Amino acid sequence: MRKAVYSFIIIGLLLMLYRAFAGLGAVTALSDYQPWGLVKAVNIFFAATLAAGSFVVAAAAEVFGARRFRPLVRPVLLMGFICHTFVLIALLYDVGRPLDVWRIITNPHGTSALLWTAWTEVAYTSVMVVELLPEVLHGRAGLVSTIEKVKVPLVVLSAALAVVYQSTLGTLFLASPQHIVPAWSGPWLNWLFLLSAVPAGLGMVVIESSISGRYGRRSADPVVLRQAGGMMGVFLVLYMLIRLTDLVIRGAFTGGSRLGDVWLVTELCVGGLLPLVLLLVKRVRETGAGLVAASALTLLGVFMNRVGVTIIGWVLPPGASYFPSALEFIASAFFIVAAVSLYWYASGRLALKAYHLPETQPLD
Amino acid sequence: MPFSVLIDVTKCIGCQGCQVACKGWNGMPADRTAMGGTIGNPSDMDSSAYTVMKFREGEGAKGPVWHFTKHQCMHCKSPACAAACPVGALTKETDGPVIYHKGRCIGCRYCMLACPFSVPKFEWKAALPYIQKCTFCSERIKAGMEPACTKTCPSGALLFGKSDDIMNTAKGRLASHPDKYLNHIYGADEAGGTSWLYISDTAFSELYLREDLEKFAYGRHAMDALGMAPAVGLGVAALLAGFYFISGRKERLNEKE
Repeated sequence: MRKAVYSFIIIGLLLMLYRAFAGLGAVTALSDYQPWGLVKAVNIFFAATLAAGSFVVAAAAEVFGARRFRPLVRPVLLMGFICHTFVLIALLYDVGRPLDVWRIITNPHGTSALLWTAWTEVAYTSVMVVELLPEVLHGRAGLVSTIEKVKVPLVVLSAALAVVYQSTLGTLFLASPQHIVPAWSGPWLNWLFLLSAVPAGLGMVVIESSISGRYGRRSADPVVLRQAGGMMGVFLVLYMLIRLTDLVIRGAFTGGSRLGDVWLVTELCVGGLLPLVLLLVKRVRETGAGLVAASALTLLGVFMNRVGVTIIGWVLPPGASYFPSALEFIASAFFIVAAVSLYWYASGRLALKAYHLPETQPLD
Repeated sequence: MPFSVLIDVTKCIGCQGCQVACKGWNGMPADRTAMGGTIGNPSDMDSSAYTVMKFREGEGAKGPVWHFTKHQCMHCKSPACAAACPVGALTKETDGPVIYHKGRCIGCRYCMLACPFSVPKFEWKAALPYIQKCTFCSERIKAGMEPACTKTCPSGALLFGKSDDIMNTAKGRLASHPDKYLNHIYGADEAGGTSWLYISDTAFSELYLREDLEKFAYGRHAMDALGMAPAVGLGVAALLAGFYFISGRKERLNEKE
């Protein structure tokens, strides 16, 4: 298994090198009619929603005083940080002139939604780094205690930045109403992206905890899983309400093509209503497997939504089509595999160094 | 004193001289193209073709009718591409052109998403790619000349001049030949108004010009949402901070008792 992962990571790095010299046309099926594609949809827009769990868990633990969530804060923060790091790496891969990308900081143009997305992303990631520093700084007790003292303001700041960040991701697509079919456009995209990021992030928290528990990294506290799953359900209800209301008001229940229609129905039913229905069933809510299933479906729904906005719903002129090339799939998979590997390695190292398993931590 | 161009579709003879002049002036390479089933070539603008003539055969009262339409950047009055660019690589000049500053570009391609006319094209084959689009020959205009395409046009389909004069000319032609022209100047309102205007004797959608565009600048949607964002962020921060202080105060009061 490990050999396969390392080999794949090496292949991915070679692909990065190839892209640097051959250009985007050689490694993607993108065109003037489809300027943004698979890597943007999956490794930037969808991956960004997975990181949203960290500010929700941190807020729950530190602001709302849900002490059972405290052991979860550091791993989820680490996961969020790695998600954001790989969003930035995928961005550098997808952007045409990555060597000039610093201009976003030095030459900002304030009317651009993309500018604010980039700035809030950088700010949010920086706050995450500060929040994570106590985890890695072992000799610097003074710095660690200073950071611990400002823990709550940091959590509040990161929550505010995360909320703005997730909504600017949706704002990006407000600039293209005439390029996206009604099912995935409309005036509320910023709210919809924000509202869907919360259940996606919480779903990721449930899945990560279950996997970590299964592989002996931490025992997954079943109460925490249940509460996270419950929160996910509540926010999913809110999101689905707004999404369906928006579609009804605009009469926008068409995906623009047969594929689009099927995609839309699947996104709403399998990825939206089904996990809600499942969470109403006690056996689902009370078991790890049930919660993981509901979380996976929720993530599927948000995934399909992001791909819907960027690819499925993107209007192409007659005769033009887009299907990601093999190298696009490889690049996307590489970012995912590398992120998961890095997370697994980092969480293992940190657990060994300073992190005690919950059995030794008193739970009130 | 901004400039505009009037494209009178009824006068275009499809010679594609505008395409050749544009390539010549901008030093663009010739491209190997494939037969696209129409006399328009290439079939659309791309990174080395800032302008193309598109052909449409329609049905008239007396048989087939041919239409030739020049497509290029519309040089919108309130360009969505310029509003969208995160580094300000696209700017609207006071004399009309929307120009691209390659030295600022990061290749994010957000301008391509934002443009309602799908104008900006990308150098997909380049390792260090740029966006490419019509420049309205802004250097020629600054030097007191007219754009290469309008100068070359043999039939008078392209008319370059001051925006007010061009608009009056367009209105004048519609008024004096009401049976010839459709009573609409394309670009007067579309996307908030453009510097390049079209008048035609056939539906604009027949000429591959979108008729489903809004009458205000497209940058507005995103900018309105962005305006809300700081308030939302501060609101969340205030809510969380408020909750923390109130619940913390409760705990401290409980402890005192």
